[in-house]
Amino acid sequence: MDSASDAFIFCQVPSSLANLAYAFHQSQSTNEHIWPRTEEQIRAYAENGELFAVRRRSTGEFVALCYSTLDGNNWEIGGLTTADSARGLHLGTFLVRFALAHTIAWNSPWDSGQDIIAHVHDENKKPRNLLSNVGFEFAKKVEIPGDKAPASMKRNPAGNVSGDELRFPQSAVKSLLTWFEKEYKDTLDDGKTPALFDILGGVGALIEALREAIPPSQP
Amino acid sequence: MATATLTRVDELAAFKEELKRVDLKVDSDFQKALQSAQRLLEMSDREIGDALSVSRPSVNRWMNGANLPYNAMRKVVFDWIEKSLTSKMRTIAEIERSQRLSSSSTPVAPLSYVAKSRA
Repeated sequence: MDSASDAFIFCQVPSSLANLAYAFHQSQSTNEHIWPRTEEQIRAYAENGELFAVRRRSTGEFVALCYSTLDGNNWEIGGLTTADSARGLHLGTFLVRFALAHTIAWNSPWDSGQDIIAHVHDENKKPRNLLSNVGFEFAKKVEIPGDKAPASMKRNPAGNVSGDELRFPQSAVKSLLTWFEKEYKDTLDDGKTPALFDILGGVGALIEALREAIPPSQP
Repeated sequence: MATATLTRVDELAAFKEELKRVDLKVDSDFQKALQSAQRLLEMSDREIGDALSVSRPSVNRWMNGANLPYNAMRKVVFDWIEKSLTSKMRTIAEIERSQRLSSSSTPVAPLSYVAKSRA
């Protein structure tokens, strides 16, 4: 496969591709650290266009997925899954950055008194580094009583499901902007594989919007 | 029929001109412009969401002011509205043209066919 056919497209999933996105979600094995979403929830995210995906440009195949949805006063970024065939490329980090930037640019959450959060199980190490690299910070411990949590999830010695709530603070927008402006060069971290963000107005508009999102006290 | 179509094109053209004078940085002006565009383009929140690559609930929240995009993205929305209006005007003009053509060529059976049938 040449580099051109190996390109990855980062995009918001249109409602017309809800079935494909749901099929990808179903094909991914869930683990005991992830709160399993119901079929109805995933379908609703997909049909509402709240899913973000990485797709191979050559085939349109989904290789990673996450959602960003407003739940109460919090935008929750979650459900990050990557296909086994695309592991090791740091697609998840790129995808979370894209979902974050997209959510911020189009919804200006802090102007409406909203936060951006993510949840991670105590024993789930992988997304912890990823989210921390992107700018998420520890917000609080969360413990769900065992009888209220899905049976598939791992319990702590007390029989509850425990984890952290992480928050993406407005002060972290600057580092997100720096990544899009200075570090992202149209490729994955290998410097060769094309990684393209599909957003109306292009990355330029996204960068301008992120610049607007930086708090006034932080020039 | 032709008069009604012409009025519709006029309405779209007038809104396209009006859009140039809207200050997209003013929240209420952005909202009003988007609401008018939705009505004139006859699109649902979902269709607008898909066209702009944003979620349907986001479009709904822009409409009611619960959330609004940053100015850089509002400019993108306005550019899209302008293009969509142009495209809609072109489509209506095409329909009007084909309606005129079809009404000018009334389907009448050729004389030779009528003669054969009678025979």
